[in-house]
Amino acid sequence: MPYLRLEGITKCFGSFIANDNINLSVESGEIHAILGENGAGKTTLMNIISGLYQPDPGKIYLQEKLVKMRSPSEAIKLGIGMLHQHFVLVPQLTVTENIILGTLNGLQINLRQKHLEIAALSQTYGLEIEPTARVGDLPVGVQQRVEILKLLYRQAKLLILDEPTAVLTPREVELLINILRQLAACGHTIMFISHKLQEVIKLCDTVTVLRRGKVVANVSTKETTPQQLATLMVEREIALELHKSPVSLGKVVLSVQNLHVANQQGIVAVRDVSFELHSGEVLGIAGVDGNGQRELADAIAGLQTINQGKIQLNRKSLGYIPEDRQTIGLVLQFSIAQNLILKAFKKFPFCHRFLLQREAIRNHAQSVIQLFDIRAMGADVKVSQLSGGNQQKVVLARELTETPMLIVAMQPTRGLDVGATKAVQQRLLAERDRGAAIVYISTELEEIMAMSDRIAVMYEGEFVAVLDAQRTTVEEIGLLMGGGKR
Amino acid sequence: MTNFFSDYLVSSLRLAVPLAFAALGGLYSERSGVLNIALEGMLLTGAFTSAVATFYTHNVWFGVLAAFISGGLVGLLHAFLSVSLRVDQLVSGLALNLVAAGLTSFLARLVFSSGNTQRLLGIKPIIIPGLANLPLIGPLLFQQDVLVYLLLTLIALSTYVLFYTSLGLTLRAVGESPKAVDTSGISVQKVRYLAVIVSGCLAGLGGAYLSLVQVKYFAEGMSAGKGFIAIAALIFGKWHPIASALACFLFGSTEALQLRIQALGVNIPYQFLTMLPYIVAILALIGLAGRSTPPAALGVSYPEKRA
Amino acid sequence: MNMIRVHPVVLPILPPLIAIGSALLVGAGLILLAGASPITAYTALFQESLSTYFGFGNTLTKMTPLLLTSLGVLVALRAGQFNIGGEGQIYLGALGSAVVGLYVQGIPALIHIPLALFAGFSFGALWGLIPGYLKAIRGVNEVITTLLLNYIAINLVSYLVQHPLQEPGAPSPYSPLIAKTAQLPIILPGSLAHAGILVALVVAGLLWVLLVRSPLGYQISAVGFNPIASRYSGISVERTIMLVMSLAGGLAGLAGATEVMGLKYRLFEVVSSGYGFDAIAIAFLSRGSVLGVVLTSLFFAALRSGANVMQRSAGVPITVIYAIQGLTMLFIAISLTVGRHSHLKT
Repeated sequence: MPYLRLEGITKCFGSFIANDNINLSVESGEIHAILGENGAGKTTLMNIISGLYQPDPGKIYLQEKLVKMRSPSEAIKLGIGMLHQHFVLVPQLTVTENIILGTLNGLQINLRQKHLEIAALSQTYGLEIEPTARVGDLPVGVQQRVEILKLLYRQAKLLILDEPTAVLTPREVELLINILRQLAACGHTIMFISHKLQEVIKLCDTVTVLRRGKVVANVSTKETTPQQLATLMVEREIALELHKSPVSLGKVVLSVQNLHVANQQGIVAVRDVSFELHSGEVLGIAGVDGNGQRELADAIAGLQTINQGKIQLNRKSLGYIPEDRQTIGLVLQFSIAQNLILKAFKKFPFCHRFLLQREAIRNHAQSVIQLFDIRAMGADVKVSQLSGGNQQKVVLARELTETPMLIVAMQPTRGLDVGATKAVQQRLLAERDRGAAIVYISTELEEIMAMSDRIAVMYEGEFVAVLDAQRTTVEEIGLLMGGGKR
Repeated sequence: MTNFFSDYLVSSLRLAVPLAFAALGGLYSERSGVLNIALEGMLLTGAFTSAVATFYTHNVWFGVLAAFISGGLVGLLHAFLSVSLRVDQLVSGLALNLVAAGLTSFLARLVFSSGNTQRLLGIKPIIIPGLANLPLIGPLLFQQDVLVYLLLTLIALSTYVLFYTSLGLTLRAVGESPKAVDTSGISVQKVRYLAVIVSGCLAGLGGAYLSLVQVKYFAEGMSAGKGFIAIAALIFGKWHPIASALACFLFGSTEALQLRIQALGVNIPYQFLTMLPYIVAILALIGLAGRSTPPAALGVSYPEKRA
Repeated sequence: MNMIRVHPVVLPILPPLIAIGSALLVGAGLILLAGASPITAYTALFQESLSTYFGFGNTLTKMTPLLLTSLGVLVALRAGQFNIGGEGQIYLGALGSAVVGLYVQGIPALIHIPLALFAGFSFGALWGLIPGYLKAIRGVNEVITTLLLNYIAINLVSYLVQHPLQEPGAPSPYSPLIAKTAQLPIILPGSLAHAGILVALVVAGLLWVLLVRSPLGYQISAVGFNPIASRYSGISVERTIMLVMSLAGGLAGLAGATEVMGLKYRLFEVVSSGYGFDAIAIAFLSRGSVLGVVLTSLFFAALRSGANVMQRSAGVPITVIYAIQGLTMLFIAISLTVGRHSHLKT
C-alpha cells in the first residue's frame, strides 16, 4: 500500500487557486519528485502535507489511514518532517541544542548525554556532524545535515525536502544524494521539490509535475527526458536557447588588479583577483553562493572598502543590479516613479532650484514604463504591489536608463518565472550589443553558460579559472565550483 | 578608611538594587526578542503600588506583592501590544512609560494629599549571624534585607535557567530565531508573553525596593531614568545576568559617589555628580557599541509584518 | 466578514480621533475618581483655553514649544530615528538663547532676535548631533542615548543657573533678564501670546516644503523606508541620520529659545514641563503629517492651558492632564494597528 496518498487536495488563497484537485500517491522507500515552475503550487502542497496549511477540501491518507493535521507539530507526531529551503536553525546555538529544541519535557538538560545521543544518531545514518559545533560556524552543506538530523531525531518517516540542492556545491549535492538513497533504503519515504530537471531524473524514482496548481503528469523517471519534463512544466515550447550575437570587443572598461576585499565581519572574502573587461563583453562569474561574489560586486560598485589592489573604472557610468530586489534594489513603499529616480533625485531635471520637479519625474516614469514594458496601473503605484518580474524591470530600468558602460548584475533572474527570466536576459544581451560590459554573477550553471562570453569560476574568494564559454562544459565548471582542479 | 570604603560599597549595592531588578527583568524580555523600554514605567508603577498598598494595609509584604502584580500587569499590557497587536515595540514601551508617569502622578495626589507620602514602613534588614561580621563582605552581603537576598538568588537562578535548562534554551532560541522555534512546535507568542510578564514583575519589585527600602516614601517620577540606565547596563552586560548585574553595580557606585564626595569636602556642585551615572552609562554604551550583539530577533515582531 | 464603509477623507483621521476620544473618556473616569464632575471639568478646560481671549493666548503660548519639538520628532521619525531627547534639547536651546540674550548687548532687535534664535537652534542641534553621530557611526541605539542626554542637559542647566548665570541676590535660582532687544514681542496685547507662535508656524510651513517637495525630504524618506537600498543607490545613510537628528535637536532647541525669549525672559532651572515627551505622542498621533502635528499640538496645548482653570473651578488636580496625555499615546499605539486588524474599508 502507498505510504502517502493525497485525494482531491485543493487550496485557495482568496480567489487564487494554489492547488487544484491534486491526487497523488507515494510508496514507502520511494524518492518522489514534485516538479514545477515558481508559483505552480509545489510549496503550498508540501505545506499542506507538513501540516502548516489545511486543505480546503481534500483528504490525506498515511498508510491508508485518514489523517487530519492542524499544525506542524501534529504532522511531526505522525512522522512527517519538512526540510525548508531556508534553514530554520538558530545560528547562535550548537548542533545538539538545535536538534533537541522543542522536544524536551523536563526542566533540566543533560547536555553531555544529549551530545552522545546525537553523535550516535548521526553515525547510524552516516551523517557526519560535530554535536558541539556552533551551527552558525558550519558550512551550508553541514547545516543541511543538521536539519535532516532534526527530522530523524523526531522519528520522521516521511521526509519532504524543498529545493535542497539550491545552496550546495556539486560535491555536496552528491553527498546529499547518497544520504537520501540510504534513507530510502532504510524504509524512509522521501519527497523532493525541485525545478532542476537533471537532478530529478538522476535521483528520483518517480516525478509528479505541477502546473498552475494542477497535476499534469505522474511518471517514472526512467520513462521520461528533461525536454519532456520541461514542456510539461510550462506547456509551451520555451526556447531554452538565447539568441546571442558573436562577441565584438571594444576598449577596456573595467580593470581589476590583485584585489583583496574583506567582508562585513572582517574575514577576507576576495583573494587576489585580477581581470579585465572589455566593452561588448559578458563575463559570467560562476560559483556557489558565499564564495566572495557579493563582496567582489560591492567592491566594484564602490560600496565595500578594498584591502589591497586596484579597481579602475568610470564609476559614474555604472549600473548595479543587486541580488535581492526587495531589500536592496527597491524602496517598496515608494512608487514606481519614485524608485526610478533613486540615484538621480538630486540632479537636473528631477531637481531644480532645490525642489523636486514633479512633472519631469512623472514624464520620465511614463516613458520608462513603456520602454521596459512594466505592467502596472500607473507610475504612482507602489512597487510593493508589482509582481517579481515587474519589480525587477523597475530596477533594470533605473540602472540602465543612463546607458552605463559597465553593468554588474548579481543573480538578476532569481525568483523569476521563465518568461520574466528570458526578458531580463534578452535585455542584458541587448545592452551588451550596444557596447556595455557586463559582469554577470549567478549560481545557475545553465544561465551562465548561455549568457557569458567568458566565464570565471569563483571558489573561496579566488578566480580558480577563467574559461571561454564556447569551449567549456557544464561538468568542467561544476567541478571547479566545488573546488576541484582542472 | 575601611569603614568609609565599606560604607561606600554598601551604598553602591543598595543604589544598584532597583537597577538590577529592572535589568534582570529586561533581560528576560529582550532575550525573548521583545524590546522593553517600559522598564522605567514598570519601576515607577511598582514603586507607587507598593507605597499605596503599604500605606493602607500597614504591611510591607502586601506592598511587595502589589508591586509584583502591578508590574506584571504592565508587562502583560506591553506583551499584548507588542506580541499580539504587533505594535512597534519602541512605541509600546514609550507609551507605557508616559501612562505610568501620568497615572502615578495623578493617583499619588489623590492618595497622599500633598503628592508625597509620610514615612512608610520599611523593610528591615536581616542579619545573617556569623557571616555578617566578615570584614567588607559582611555588611555588604549579609546584612541586607530580604529583597536583596531575593535579587542575588534570582541572578544566580537566572544564569542557571538560561544556559542549562530547556526553558532557557527555548527562551534564547525565540530571541535569536523565532522561526526555528515556531517550526519545532513551540508557541513563540506564549514564550514572549511569559518573558515580558516576568520582566514586569521583576521591575515592579525593583520599584518596591525604591519606595520601601531606599527612601521610604513615594515621590512623583522617582524612578528618574533608572529604567533607562538598566537598559544601558543590559547592553553593557551583553544580556548576561551576572555581567548586567555587575554593570548595575557600577552605575550604582557612581550614584553613591555623589553622596560621598561632598562628605569628603570636595567642592563639586551636586549637579555634576547627579549627571555622572548618565554620563558613565553613555560612555559604557559608546565603548561597547558594535561588540555587544543583541539577540538577533530583538525588536522584530513575529510573524513579521508585510511592507 | 462585514465591511464598514467609510468616506476616504475620514479614514486617516479616524484612528487618532478614536484614540483621543478614548483617552478623554478614561480621563473622565479619573476626574470622577477625584470627586469632580467631568462635564464641569472639561467645559472649564476647553472653554478657557479656546474661547477666552486670555486663555487662547495661553494656548498659543504653550503650542509654540509643543509644535516645534514635535516637528523635530517628526523629522527624525521620517528617517526611522526615534528622538526621545526633545526635553534635553529644549533645555540646551533655552541655554543658548539665554547666553546670547544676556551677553550680547547693544544691537538692534532685528539682529538680536534672529541671533538668539539661531543660538538656541544651534545648541539644540548639537545635543541632537551627539546621539545622531553615535547612532550613525558607532551604531549606538539613539533611544537610550537621547534619553540619557535629557538628564545630563537638565542638570547642566540647573548648575549654570545656580552658579555662573544666576541673578545676584535672587531668592531662587534664575538668570538675569535678557536684553530687551532679544525679547519676542507680544502679538495679542493683554495676553501672554508672543511672536514665537509665528516662528513656529513659519517653521512648520518650511518643514512641510522640505519634507514633501525637496530632494532632501525624498532622501530622508528613502533612508527611513529602506536604508540598505538607499546606500546601494549612493545615498549616505550616515550623513542623513546625523543631519536629521541635528535638525530634530535644533527644532527642539528653537522651542527652548522661544520659551526664554517670549515667555520667561530669563533662564530658569525648569525650562520645560514635559514638552519633549508630549512631542513624541503628538508626532505619532499625526501619522507623519505636518498639518496633523499643527492641529494635534494645538489640542495638547489647549489641554495644558486649560488645566489651571480646571483645577481652580472644578477642583481637579492638574496631573490628570498628564494621565490623559499618556493614555492618548497608549491608545494611539493601539490605533496604529487598526489598519491591519480592522474591517474598515473605503
